[in-house]
Amino acid sequence: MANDAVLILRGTLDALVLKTLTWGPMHGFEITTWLEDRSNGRLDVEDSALYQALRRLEDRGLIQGEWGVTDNNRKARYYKVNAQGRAHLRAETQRWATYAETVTDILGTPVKA
Amino acid sequence: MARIRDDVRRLFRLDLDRKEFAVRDVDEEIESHIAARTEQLVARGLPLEQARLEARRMFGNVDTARATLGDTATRTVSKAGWRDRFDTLADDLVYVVRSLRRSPGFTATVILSFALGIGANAAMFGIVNRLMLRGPEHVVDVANVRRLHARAFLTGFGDSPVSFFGYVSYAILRDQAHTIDRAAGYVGRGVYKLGKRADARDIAVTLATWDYFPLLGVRPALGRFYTADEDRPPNGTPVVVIGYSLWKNDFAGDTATLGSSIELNGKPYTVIGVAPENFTGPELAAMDAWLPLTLSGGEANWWTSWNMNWMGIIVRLKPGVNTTVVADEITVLQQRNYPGTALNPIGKAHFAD
Repeated sequence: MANDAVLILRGTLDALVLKTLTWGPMHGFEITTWLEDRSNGRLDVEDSALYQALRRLEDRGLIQGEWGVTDNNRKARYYKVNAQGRAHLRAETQRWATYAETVTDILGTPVKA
Repeated sequence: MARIRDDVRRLFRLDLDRKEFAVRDVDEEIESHIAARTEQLVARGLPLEQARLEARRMFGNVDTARATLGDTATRTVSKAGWRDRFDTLADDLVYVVRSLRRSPGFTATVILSFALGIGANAAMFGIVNRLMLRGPEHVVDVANVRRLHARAFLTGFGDSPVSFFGYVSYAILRDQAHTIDRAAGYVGRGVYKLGKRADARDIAVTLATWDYFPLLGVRPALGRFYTADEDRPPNGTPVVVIGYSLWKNDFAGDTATLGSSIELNGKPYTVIGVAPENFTGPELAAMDAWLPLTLSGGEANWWTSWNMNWMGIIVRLKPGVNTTVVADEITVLQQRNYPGTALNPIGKAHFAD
């Protein structure tokens, strides 16, 4: 792996995928591209990781997949987030905000003079 | 259950064993993805064969993925209705994503948080809680008071969020910014021991620059707030503004508290004022006392150092001024005043050591 690879938790990736799908049904490759664009190239998720995330989310009943056809007439599996998925995303978003704020705050605490 | 005709079964692939069906789906999906990636690479100028190889490589370990995906697929199918006892989303194994794209050099893009009281990172990541709470008490025109955040792009580190700045950054904004009314710095989460020995207890203390109070528009309940003269680098004057609750609870609301000396972490401070009831500054956590920020200085030239980044900065916007304009000006001022171009190998210009 590259030295500057970013570590993210599986749960975080799942939340990012859910969020992506709130923009509309997408297939795996579209999700990857969307995350890459949206993060200005900062997030370059490994494809196998993405598909594992999709499987987890589907197992959990948070998204639904169905086969469709792309603009290029290729068969692809599209995923949609459902109401349960949206509810989970709301909860995860709040947890993430709290976590991030707490860690940043502590890391920003000055060393006492 | 009625028997389904054979030709119908074949049409809808019902003739396949359910397990096999799921695995084939997975293969098809992976191939579809790789095909899309190949197209993308060809569009970017790679020859077809190379694009195919690269697309496969980029997918990661296809066999592992296939095996894992296949397992999950078969497990789902063969154990339909049975839920795994352990919640897979609670499985916090760390997963590595590919590297960040690096921007050369150092640029800072500054954003202003939506409103006070929301956690810094919530605002920064664009997550705004629409059910937001009332603003902090005694802050005048709170919609125009914002917490400063920045993004620093540093070679080798990618993009980093920045919420804490040095005194040097605050001074630049204070002295050079035109698109804001004023700026102030503060460190909001101090815990100090009030009093001596067995009586001593922990209280919440904010260290703030003198202009924090006029910026917020708050007025003292009693006495006054400290002045620029009492908050000058290298060291401020040991005065303190106490909170209303602290005054009522620990000092019986006695007006003679003004001018008296209290002990914080073993050092004496003169009480010069009492903050109004329920004032907590720009954040919502309860606050017991405020001290001049320059009391927390430290080693020589701390007030010009770009490596001591421990203050939050708040600004009061000029009415009607677009926040993008403000953020742009702040970015330019920071860049213009930052003396270095090369970065030391481990240093990040905007983080505390």
